[in-house]
Amino acid sequence: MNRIKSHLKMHYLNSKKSFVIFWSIMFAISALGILISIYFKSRGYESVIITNSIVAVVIFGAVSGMVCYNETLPYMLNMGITRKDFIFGFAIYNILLSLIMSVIYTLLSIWEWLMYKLLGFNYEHFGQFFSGVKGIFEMTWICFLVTLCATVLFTLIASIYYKKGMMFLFGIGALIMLLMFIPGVTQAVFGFLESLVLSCAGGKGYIMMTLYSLAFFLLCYLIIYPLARTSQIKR
Amino acid sequence: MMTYAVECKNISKHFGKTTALSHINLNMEKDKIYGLLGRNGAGKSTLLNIVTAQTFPDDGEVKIFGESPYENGRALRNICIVKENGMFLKDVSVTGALDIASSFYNNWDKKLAERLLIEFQLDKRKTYRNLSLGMKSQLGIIVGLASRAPITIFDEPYIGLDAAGRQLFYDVLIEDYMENPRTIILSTHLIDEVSNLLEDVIILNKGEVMLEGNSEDIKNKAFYIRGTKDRVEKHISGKKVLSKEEFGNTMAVAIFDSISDNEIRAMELDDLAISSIPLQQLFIFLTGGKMIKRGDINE
Repeated sequence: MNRIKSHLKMHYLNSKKSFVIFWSIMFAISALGILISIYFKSRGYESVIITNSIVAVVIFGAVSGMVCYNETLPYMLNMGITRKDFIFGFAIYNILLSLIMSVIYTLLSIWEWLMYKLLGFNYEHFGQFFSGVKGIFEMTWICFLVTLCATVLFTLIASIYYKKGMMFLFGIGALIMLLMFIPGVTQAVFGFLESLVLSCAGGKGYIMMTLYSLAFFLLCYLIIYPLARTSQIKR
Repeated sequence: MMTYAVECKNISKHFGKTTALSHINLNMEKDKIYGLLGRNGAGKSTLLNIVTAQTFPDDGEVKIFGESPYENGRALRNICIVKENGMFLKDVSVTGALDIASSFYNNWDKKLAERLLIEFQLDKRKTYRNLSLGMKSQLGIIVGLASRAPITIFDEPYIGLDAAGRQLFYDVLIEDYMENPRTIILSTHLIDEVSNLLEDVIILNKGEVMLEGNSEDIKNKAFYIRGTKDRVEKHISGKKVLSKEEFGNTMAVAIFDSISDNEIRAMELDDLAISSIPLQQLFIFLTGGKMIKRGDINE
């Protein structure tokens, strides 16, 4: 357990700087957005205010998953941690990062909502995947799930890249693109994705989304595990 | 049966068509300082990566205190490896790097780490990315020494470090080793500087162990003999000659073989000058081109 704690401490110290920079930019953009809105309102413009995007949070999670894996796997092997402990620690890091990101995102959204309401603006969220979500908990939870899925997907990509190299990754990409040429494949894939999205609609949609995200998380780690267990330090 | 700190049995490793290591058999005892010497590409770092389970051998097995290190946290906890390319996280400060290291090594000596920070005059707030090459080496050395790991490995630890910094490293290493004995493996090119520290020496050449043994024993077998050609030739007959140079009627040879006291007396009577070959020069003779098989030397 101590090794996992040390592992998480390493992630905390390693990610702290980029995390602080990211959220400083997000909060600065938010503050600037409010100032710009006030300026235009004073000039008589009346329109719906569209504000910060969950997409940025998801992208941060994804990039973080990819970069951290490639950076920290050799480092941790050098520190004498087993690959199994590394994978376990990295999975916890994925979850904690997504959770913290979504909580801060929710706080930012609440702050914006309060500010725009106080200033008397019509306010809408930009890029909110599930516009029907009203509650703070639901909003945080969905943000968490989406960020987690992106993070774990890019961790998977990073693990393939680390183990097999860039050419192999390109090969997979090319294979997927080629498969799309087979009649019916594209429709089947999009049909499947559509049915997933539709099953997440409605009042209790987040429960389905939770199950899908959990399954996706486990599936990705089922692939990451053997890749990481056989990864070696690069020459 | 003796349990070795590090045991390598028949280790081989290939990278494509290149043979990095070929049938390496080595035993390293507890609480000794080993010098792992070899030219660039000799296989030193590959061997150390295999010993620390960071790379898998194609063949053979490694044991750390009798256990396989692969996915074995208990065995890996005994090892600290410091590499020439640092292996630190770029955006983490010196304080952060030491903080992380302290949580991984059970015997971490915080006081020693703090003392070395002061002695090396390393700025704790700087991130690894912003450290100079020498400072990066200093950080690695601090981690290696303060880890007090039962097996501490320094793989070319002092790239960019000035002479004073290297001397400080040697002084602290030997001081700390006397107080807290452990197995130290020092992989280096700067053989003359470390030759007095090393208890045992392992020379790798082209992926094979060319020579291994007690440092003093090896030094006691390596001699220059100078004198008139016919007399030198008379005395080196049957000995393993590493190099031979002639200047008119004078001959200088480097031999690597046991010489008895009687033989030395006989050489002195023949007016031959005998001197020891420094370890670094011996290393150059052994690895400098002419391939000398292990069997030729280790007998």
